[in-house]
Amino acid sequence: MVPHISLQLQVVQKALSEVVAPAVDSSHKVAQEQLGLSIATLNMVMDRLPYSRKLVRKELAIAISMAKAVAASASSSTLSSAVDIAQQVLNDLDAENSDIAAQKEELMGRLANLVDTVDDAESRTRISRIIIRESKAQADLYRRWCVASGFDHHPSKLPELDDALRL
Amino acid sequence: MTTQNPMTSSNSLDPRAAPDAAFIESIRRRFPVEQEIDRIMTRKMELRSGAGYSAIPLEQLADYAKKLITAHIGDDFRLNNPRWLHGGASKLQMAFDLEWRGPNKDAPATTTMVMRMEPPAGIVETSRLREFEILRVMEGVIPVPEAFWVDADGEHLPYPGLIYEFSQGVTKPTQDAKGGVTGIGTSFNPELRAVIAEDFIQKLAAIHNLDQSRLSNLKHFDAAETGSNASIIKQVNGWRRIWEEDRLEELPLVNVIAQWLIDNAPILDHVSVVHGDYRTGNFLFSEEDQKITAILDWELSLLGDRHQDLSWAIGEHFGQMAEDGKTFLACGLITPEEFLHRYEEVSGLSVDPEKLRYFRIFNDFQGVVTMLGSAGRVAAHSKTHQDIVVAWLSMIGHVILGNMRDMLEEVI
Repeated sequence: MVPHISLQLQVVQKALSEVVAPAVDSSHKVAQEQLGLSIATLNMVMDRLPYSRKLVRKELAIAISMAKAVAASASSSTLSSAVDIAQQVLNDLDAENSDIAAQKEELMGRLANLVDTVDDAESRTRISRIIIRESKAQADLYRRWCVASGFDHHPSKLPELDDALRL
Repeated sequence: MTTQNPMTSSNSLDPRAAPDAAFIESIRRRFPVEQEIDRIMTRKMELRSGAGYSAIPLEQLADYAKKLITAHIGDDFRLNNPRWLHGGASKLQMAFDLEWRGPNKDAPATTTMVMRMEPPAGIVETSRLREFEILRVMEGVIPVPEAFWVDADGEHLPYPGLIYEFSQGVTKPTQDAKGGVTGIGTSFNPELRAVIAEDFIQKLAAIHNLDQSRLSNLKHFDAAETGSNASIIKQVNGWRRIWEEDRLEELPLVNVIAQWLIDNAPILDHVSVVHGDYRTGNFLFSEEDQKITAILDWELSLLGDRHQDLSWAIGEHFGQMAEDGKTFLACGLITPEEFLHRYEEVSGLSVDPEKLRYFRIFNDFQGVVTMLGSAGRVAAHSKTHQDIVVAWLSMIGHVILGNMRDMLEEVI
């Protein structure tokens, strides 16, 4: 048996909060701020770690949906081929997280390049609208993922994490 | 977003992690920017694969400051009581007391000063030269720290930096116990905010109405011209370039918005000094007098369109709900509608709703590039003295991106 990652995180969080924090000089504002954020970051990691595999798969699913819609609109066979490869990786339940992430990056890179290089204004508008529409799922997912940061004024408008991660 | 370390595995081939001369040059050619901005950005990329930030002991930093001061006024001074300044997410700041002959060298004086430096890389890479010049130009117009000396290239200091007079005041009311990241979520009571809001608006109007004859002293700012949209296009190019240089992952939405901003760049009707980050958290005020004592953080300043500052100041992430829980207050001070109306009255300059919307999108674009591009990159390369703060702040990028996406659905 090895110490589970969640246990290791838990004990670090406790040590920092209950032993280290009270001992830090209260006049040292920089140290106080960074220690507080370290503990908050650990809390967030502990909360989100169980979902990390789902996150990677959902990110690829979003990229596939976006690329598929753009490929159909732009009649792009190369993009369609890339989508097919990515879909195979997503369907492979044994695929490594790094491979899934690489496919996501590949599709997103192709889409970004298409936006930059398409000459025809009408085509660019059509592709842009698709990307904007398809980006909502990604934007909502990331906002929900980061809700513990406290920066979001409207968290109640976001889908719950399980819903945002659902394929 | 990634759960993987961006510096390993699939990103080992990322040209941004260790950019070579060809990569740097290719991006420079694609995105023409202001001359001094180009110098700063190119420097950033050339230093990228260099050392990360290592803590500099206060005493050593004080010695560096003495070198810079000596280069300008000789050694007839004493530097006492060096201490770290807290606050801000991008620059290293040390305060100290200087015993010297004063700026006119005519009488002994003790002046509290601030030395402000770049870390090896910041979430916002900016020019100390421009910051120095704008502070000098704004002296006597609105309260700003008096700037004394600049080291543009790190000749005397470990990094580029400048020294200016410490300004008295606070950035937020002392009874505000939230202790959040600077400027975000600051609360003012109704009595205080009425007074500060008026002062806030008066100062902004003065900035935007700066006598055009003073602009010639801004030697490292590219000029802006009325009847043209060239200056804003350079700015869009600048942020697009930063995205290309810094991003850890692709976000096609960023490319979409950059194209839209170029295609819809508004024509400039009046050349203003634009502060670039005018908000709560970037001014000091006296709680006793209830007056603004200094406008700070001029590093993003430029010559351009006043709507850029106006849109920034009324933005959601620097605002706060009033006590009723329903009324949004720009910068925690005043409703956006009241702010804009009063600004028009005080400045004599019109507010164009279409330009406000354009700059709302532009400002969000800038925010996304900074938070989802640069912040992640500098933390991954261990380049700052507060990577944990930078990484935490980067999460606001997702809120901004979400809001930007919603706006784009209305305009494209």
